[in-house]
Amino acid sequence: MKRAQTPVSYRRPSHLRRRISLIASSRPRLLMDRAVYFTESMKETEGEELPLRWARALVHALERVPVELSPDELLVGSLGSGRYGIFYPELDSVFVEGEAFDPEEFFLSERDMELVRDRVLPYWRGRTYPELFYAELPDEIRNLLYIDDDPFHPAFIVQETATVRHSLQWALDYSKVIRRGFRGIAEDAERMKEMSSDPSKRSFYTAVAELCRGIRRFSERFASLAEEQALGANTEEFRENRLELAERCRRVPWEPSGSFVDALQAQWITQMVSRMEAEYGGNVSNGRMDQYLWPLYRHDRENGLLTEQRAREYLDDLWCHIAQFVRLKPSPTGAKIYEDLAHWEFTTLGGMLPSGEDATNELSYLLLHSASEFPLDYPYVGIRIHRDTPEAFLRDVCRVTQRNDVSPVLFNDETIVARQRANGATLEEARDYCGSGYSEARLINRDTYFVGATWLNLPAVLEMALRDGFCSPNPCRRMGLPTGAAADIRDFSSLMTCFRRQLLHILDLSFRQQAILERLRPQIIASPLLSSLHDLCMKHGVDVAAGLVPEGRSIGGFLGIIGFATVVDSLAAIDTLVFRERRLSLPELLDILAANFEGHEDVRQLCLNCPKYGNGTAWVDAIGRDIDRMLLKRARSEVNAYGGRGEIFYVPVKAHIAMGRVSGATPDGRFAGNNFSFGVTPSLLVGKLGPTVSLSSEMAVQNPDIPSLGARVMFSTLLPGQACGEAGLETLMSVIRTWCRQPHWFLRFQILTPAELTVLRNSPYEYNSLFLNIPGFNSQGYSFPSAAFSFKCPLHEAR
Amino acid sequence: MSHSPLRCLVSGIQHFSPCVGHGLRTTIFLAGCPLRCFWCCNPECRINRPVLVCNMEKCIGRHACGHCMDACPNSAIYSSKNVIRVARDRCRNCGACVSRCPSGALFMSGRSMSPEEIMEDVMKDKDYIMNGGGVTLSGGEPMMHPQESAEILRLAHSLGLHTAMETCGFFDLDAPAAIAALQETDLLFFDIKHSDPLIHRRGTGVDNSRILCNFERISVEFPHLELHSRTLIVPGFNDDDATMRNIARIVKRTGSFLHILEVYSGICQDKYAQLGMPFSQFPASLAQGRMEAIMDIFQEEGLSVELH
Repeated sequence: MKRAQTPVSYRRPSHLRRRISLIASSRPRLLMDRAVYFTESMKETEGEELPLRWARALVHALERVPVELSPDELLVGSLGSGRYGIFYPELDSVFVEGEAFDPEEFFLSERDMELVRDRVLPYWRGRTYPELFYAELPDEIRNLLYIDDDPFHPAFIVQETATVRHSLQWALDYSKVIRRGFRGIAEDAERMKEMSSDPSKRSFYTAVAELCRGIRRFSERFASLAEEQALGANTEEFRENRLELAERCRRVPWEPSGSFVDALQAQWITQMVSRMEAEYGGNVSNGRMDQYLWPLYRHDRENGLLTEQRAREYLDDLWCHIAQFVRLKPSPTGAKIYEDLAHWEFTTLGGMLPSGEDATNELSYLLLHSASEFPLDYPYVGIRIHRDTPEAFLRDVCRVTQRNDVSPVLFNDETIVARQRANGATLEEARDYCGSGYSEARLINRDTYFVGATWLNLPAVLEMALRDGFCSPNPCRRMGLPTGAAADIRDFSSLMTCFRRQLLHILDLSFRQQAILERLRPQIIASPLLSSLHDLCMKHGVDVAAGLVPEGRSIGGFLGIIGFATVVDSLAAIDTLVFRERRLSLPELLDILAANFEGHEDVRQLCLNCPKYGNGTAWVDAIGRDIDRMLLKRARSEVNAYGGRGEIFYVPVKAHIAMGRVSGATPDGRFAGNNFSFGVTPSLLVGKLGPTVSLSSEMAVQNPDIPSLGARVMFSTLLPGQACGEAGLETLMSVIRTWCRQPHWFLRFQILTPAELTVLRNSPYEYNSLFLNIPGFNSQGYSFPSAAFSFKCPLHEAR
Repeated sequence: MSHSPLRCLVSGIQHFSPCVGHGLRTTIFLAGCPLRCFWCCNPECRINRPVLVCNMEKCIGRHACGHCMDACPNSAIYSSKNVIRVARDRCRNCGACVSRCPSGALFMSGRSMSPEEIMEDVMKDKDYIMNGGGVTLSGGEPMMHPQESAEILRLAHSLGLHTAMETCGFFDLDAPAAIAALQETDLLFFDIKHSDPLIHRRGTGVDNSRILCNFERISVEFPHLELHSRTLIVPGFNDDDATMRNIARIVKRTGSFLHILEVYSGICQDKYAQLGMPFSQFPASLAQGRMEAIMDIFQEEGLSVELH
């Protein structure tokens, strides 16, 4: 078989290897400096417009926070040598004052804490987003969000994340910084200021201009550091390197970038300032890197100024910077929904050009290889797949997927572009969308951005329908409507009626609290950097956080649904066992669930063996479709203060773990405290017919007539043997090609590792649900204990 | 779609069965086979009757459950160390225990389905198998039921699917239904298990002369058919040089240039235990370098070899 051209092998130099291992072994530390200087300035500027105050506070901090430059770094722009996070007092200061806060956990010294207690916390008391939000909440919503009205104790029934982060997530338009530099943007702002008479616009343009100059000074601080290092250099090579670095930092990002390395440097400084400005879900994205870096990369390569080896060294250094910055959340919600320091700087590769042609270029391959061969988890690579994605690129993507540790996520251009079009984007705009956050798509010069999403515990809503309005995450209070006891539910349609009533009630409350968040946000948060890189904000002189930007496409509250498959499977199990086969009554089933199946393993097995979503069973998929329809119809009828429609998305991040942990057993056979299902992925290991049928089932639960802009996260679990070798490569490619023609949004292959198989082996039931496919070998229903650990490549062992 | 009264016993429909060079396929396993190969990997498909399967790994034990023991009219289920067992000499394969088993440890292999029902199941992931793949009839021996096979393949063709069949070659080629079935087949995998009639009988229970005769006739009489000969290498049965050379010559005689080799894997022995059938043991893997030597023999005879 013809192999795709293999790239020139890359040798990682020792200083980069050292840098990576230092980062990996360091303990993340929360930096308080930004908070101190930011607060200092905010105290001074009371009474001014918020964007201007924000810009000044940011500049004040940029000029003063301690910066570091290690001799191993090729690009500048870090605030510490190991891993670090930033403390944002406007969101989190109330939690630092709480008793549960442990400075040790965040590697904070007593002095740090003293500084914060004296100079930061007093100012923010009563001014933070969570506090203002809490004060505005009506009682019935407060009960839904917190247990015993305690803001430190989230109930995880309806969970807002708007006060956990400044914004949902975003990708900046780095191409502007690269092409024009901040100088160009500052000049624009000054010119627009001259032309405008509106004081609030003038103040916005002032903010932008001041910020751009502040960024220049921030970059120059690194230049001085590099020059100092050049003075003490041991070798001539190092001295030259540092001088070159210093020269570059004095030039970019203020001036336009002249080379590939300049562009990377400008990109990272911009990203770093963005992190100082605000915290996004998953941090700010990298955008379409293979597009905005391509002109300079091609230029440098054609003129012999850059080798592939050199380019990859600089990229490695950029990934190091990304890996160094982690999200550290002192708030109890933040800690639980962003467990294990996850962050994903979405790096979009491939896809289409605005003209509709394929956008893949040499740099796409280079970035794919660089990102996938980087030993830490970053960056997060998303590949845009469309009908004309080149065979060779798809093959490389599948090869990377086979290695599994870095399996990239796949975005379906055909679906996403069509959905963007149906929501008011022009064809060119839609084709130029950019992956953002975990699984979403943004039009970075058109969309005006969003208040953090609210997550909804869907299984808890089902519990309310079954238990007369009560549910396990907060069992002492009635959360839902009194829809009657379980004994009165006589058939499946009345159960669905109860469920629908409860769901609509909870959705109402969710959108009400979302509206409060949206109303408060412009008073608390401004984003001058993001606005300066947004066409419409610059044109109209508005900060993007103000909500309403003329000509912009505003999207309303995002509502994240958690436990979709858990609920569909639970409803299917109730229908089968209680109403169709009449094996037990609904109150009996509820008693068994309340006892967490204790002493009723046989009933749990019945539940587990009921028809499940993900196996192409038409009536089960119909339940899913009904629920999806209910959600979408309700959400999209909700228009917020900025004219944006509500959206439903199925992106759990880690909320399915946090919410599952506080919820009781469910009728699909899940024990209390176990995880809920993930996104729209069928529950773990119930896909008895394999990944293609699961994907077809996912298609069957969609309502294609409603062009939702919410992402639908779908994982496909494979055994190592199903994806290994050239045959596995062909299989993956064939699945992706077909997937791309269907209305899917997102796909990620998850190939079980030998360690995961070993863990599964200890719970035979789960292990035996693994889908094993060997051509010509009928394996359904059987278990293969003698092949226990040899599921690895059963087909190809002999090769 | 007209409804036909035909029904056949299906022991499994396996989606996502990739076949090298022929895309993603869905395999339909039909029960019933005239051969009794001692290495058979689908022994539940030998007889054309539902068979009780007892998967002890899934059983939650007598203390937690035990419903099957009460359900059995023949007292064929007993327990030992909290795990249920089936006394096969008393079991009549009636299936009374299956409906009481909550965990799927006991189930009947073999479900009577009409060709329409089969196709409905196959079409669950139709978009994936239509992209260069298709449907494969396997078993058992699909040509044990030529009429039903022909109908299934005809339906598949009418739905626009590519069709393939795996056969041991032991069937009546003159039967009209068999001819119809082969006419609806796009791709035929034809197993040649051994060249020597006596050893063939010893290993599979039948003589190979009819098989070899069918092989030659199909290659002549059905020129539209993509015919792939195939040999499963079973250590100790057919892995010697002479046999391999003879098989290569048989294939070569039909004018074919390609032969597919498969290697026996011991993974199926677990199924024998769950079906309560005896399993003869032999070395599960070929000696080092043996595979290369065998491939060389085929290449010497002028055939290209694919290893599946």
